[in-house]
Amino acid sequence: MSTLFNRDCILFDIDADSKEEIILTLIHRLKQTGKITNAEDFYHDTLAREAICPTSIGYNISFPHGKSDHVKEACIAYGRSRRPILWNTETGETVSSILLIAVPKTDGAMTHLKILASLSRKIMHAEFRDILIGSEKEAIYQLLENALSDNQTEAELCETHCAH
Amino acid sequence: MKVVGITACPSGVAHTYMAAEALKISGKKFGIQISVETQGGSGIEDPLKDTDIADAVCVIIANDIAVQGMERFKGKKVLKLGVSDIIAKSDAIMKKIKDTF
Repeated sequence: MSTLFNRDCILFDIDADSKEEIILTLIHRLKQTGKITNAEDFYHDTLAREAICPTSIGYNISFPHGKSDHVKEACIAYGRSRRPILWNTETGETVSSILLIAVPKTDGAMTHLKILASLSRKIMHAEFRDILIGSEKEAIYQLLENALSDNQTEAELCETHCAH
Repeated sequence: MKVVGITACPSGVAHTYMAAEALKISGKKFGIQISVETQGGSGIEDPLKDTDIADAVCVIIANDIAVQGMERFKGKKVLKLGVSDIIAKSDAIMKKIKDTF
């Protein structure tokens, strides 16, 4: 089972008007799991990453992520907004499904990037996307739980491999 | 029919892998055997085999940033595209390759 994710970190119908607002909402929820030590500092780290290049990836989905000293343990939250949220001011791209990924700085880049890489690949499959964008809580939980469990094993294997 | 590709993107986080997967999905759809090397944030993964390169009718390169090991494709037909174009138009790219070669 993946320890990255739990049911409480799936939020629907989020009443937000900006990406800053919705990222903060998701971070506060992650904070309640005890895996974020300082929500505000992690929020700034996540926005700093967005400033380099917005993390929207098409299909109404974005992947905000932060690697931060203020994260104790890697974790993920999924949120769906009530209204489309402007994610990339340059292209005008909006999103309504948001996967927030938090990774501790000391964790090494590998786990973080492996999770994102694996999710990015899965997003290209319509059947994965359709469930993520359109399903109820339990189906989304199962989808992400399965995706992350597969990937966690791969990431751990790679870290072991790379360390030797 | 065989095709090889390399995907990369400025941050090496998401688009590299989305493009690689898009090419695989489209390749399957058009009956093209495709191998894609990713040069992303966690380094080079799924490195192309010399035999795959030798057998490939063409090479697809995401050219947003310089990719490593271009000398491997000397004498091959190389198709250079932006990584976002590969994601958005992978079906059209594969169809074109199928029709051309």
